[in-house]
Amino acid sequence: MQVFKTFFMILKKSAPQMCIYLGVFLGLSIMFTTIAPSTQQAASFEPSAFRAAVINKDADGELSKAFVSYLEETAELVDIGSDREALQDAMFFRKIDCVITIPENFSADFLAGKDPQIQTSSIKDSVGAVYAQMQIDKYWSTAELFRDFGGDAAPERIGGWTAESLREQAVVQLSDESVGDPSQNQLNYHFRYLCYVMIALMILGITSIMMSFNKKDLRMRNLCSPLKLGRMNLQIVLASLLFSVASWAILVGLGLILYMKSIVSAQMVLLFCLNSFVMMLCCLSIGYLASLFVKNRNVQGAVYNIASLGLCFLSGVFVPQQLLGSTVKAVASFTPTFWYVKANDEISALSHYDWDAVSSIVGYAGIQLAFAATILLVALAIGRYRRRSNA
Amino acid sequence: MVISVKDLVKRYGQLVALDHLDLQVEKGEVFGLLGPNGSGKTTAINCILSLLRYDKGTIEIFGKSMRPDAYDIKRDIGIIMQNVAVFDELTVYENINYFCGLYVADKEKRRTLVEEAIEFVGLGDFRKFYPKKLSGGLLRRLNIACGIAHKPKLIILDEPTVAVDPQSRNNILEGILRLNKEGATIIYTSHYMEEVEQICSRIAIMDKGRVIASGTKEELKAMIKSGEKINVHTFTLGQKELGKIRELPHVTAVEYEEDQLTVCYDGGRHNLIVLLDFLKARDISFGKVYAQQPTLNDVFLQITGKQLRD
Repeated sequence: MQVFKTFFMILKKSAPQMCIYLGVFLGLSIMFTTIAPSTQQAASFEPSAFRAAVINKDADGELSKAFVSYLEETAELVDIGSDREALQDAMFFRKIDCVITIPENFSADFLAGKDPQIQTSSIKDSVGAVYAQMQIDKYWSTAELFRDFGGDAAPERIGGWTAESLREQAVVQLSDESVGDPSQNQLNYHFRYLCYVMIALMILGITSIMMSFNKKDLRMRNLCSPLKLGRMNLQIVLASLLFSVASWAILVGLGLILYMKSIVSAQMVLLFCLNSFVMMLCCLSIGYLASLFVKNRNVQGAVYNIASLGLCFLSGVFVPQQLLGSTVKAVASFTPTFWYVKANDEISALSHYDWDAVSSIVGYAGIQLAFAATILLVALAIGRYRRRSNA
Repeated sequence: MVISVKDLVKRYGQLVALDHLDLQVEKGEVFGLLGPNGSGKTTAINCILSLLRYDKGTIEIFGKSMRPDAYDIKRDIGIIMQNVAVFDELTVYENINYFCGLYVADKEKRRTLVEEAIEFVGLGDFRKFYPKKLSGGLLRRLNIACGIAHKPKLIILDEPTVAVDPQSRNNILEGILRLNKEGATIIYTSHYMEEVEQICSRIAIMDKGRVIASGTKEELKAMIKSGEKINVHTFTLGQKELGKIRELPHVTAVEYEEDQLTVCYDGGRHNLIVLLDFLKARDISFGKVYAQQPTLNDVFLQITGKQLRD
């Protein structure tokens, strides 16, 4: 097992670099899982109250009174008076988001079918002000509806119907399946970023070793020995596999330890592990393919950075797939990482684990396996072609 | 017979790298393959080791046909490549242990062999050094240790002294002779004729993929007409004296340029004494005198019409 042992002796030389990657990965993973929005926030909607000062110049108008009453229900009204300077100060110091001014005879003009305007002054780019404008528009467009189709209803009734109508709340339920239990999100993030570090580690590890074994004179010296070529290759394959499985186990193990509290069910962990194991085989194939082209450390650095970052940015490891454009997604579907992330997202959204629920995940894992096999076959074909042309 | 190569042909497209090459190496020999760069020495070695496929011919080592899967033959061969072929990531000891381990499975036996190899090449103080910390000469010694640690019966050295300082070169050459004394058959390729002359018991001179002459160095030198060459620094030689020198026994050519007399012979004995007697008898004063024996370069020059290092 000389080749097998030597594989790990050479690997030891690349250990510091690999440890840096592991550290960076853990840092990234912890940072992203900490700052990631919880699905609780994403899955629910709660209207926020804005703060406003109201100047009602139509104090006798019934509709104006009803409007102010409605605002009292939905907003935080602050009494500042009508002094222009005091109002500007209040806005500057963010005591209020906007000033709503109801002009004189507003109710009468509105009921007469004219188009009187509620005046608003607001802080530039204030979210509260935008929300206030939305509320004003919503109120008066509803009131307009009752005015036009409510017969000759009295202004008080129009105000009452409008307020009553706007009090009706629709229940919002997000249909996006990727938004599941918030406690599962951290594991999803960890397993998603795991793909990045696995690609980098595999390319770094495998190319470091193969760079030595593929040196022309060293290879010739090995070929002159009585060790059978098949046995030599088998030892390299076994060592690569052991290295890959060990790396995968460490990364998965760290994730499970770090996010132990997030584990909801054993089935989910199993699916995450299965998906990442298949991805590990893909990374191994990518590493082997890369080793055919990497001849020195400079090229090695470029290859593992470009491959790991490129694949991950393209396929939704760093940016959620929902935010990727259709063209990017179409291109990304030709990468194994795209299917890994897709499967990962689906696993995190699972609530039950029957065949119907997991069949698509198994399908995505199958696609990753097909990628692994194809990349490996391409690498073997290139290697064989090179050996023949050198002989 | 340790190696028998018959009618070996290797082509790279239109280029004929080995042109019906025949070679025989006997047991216990230090066999030199001498030729200029591109003459086919390394190609021949690579074909012998089954590292290259060839178009025609037969190769036998230890009386058996050599093939890529002839692992029983490979077990008794040690190879030292032209370029240093070691792992940069392993120490001196680890490198020798790795290559020895490809041949010897038994750990205890291997440990002894590795220690002996380290001792043999004089790398005892550097066993924990990484190759990048070694000088060019030490690196070459490591390269040799990796090839001989398993005590092969046949050692093939492909230009092992390229870019090596004279002191390290002498160490390497002495080491090769010691290996030969211990019973190994050696094949040594080089384009340095002095090295080949110094250590090889039999030499084959190659050019354009063919062996153009082979034999011991004496046999090779005997093949050519030119023999000894004597140079004398003298001042007063006229055409008359030069004519008389031309009439001396075995003289083939006489040149006199810038007070330097050069006389070439095609054989004979005591030519220097005869020439100096001739000069004394005519009161011709002379200064520095030296004689040159024919070299393998002269052999190569005479056969091919060009210098070995052209």
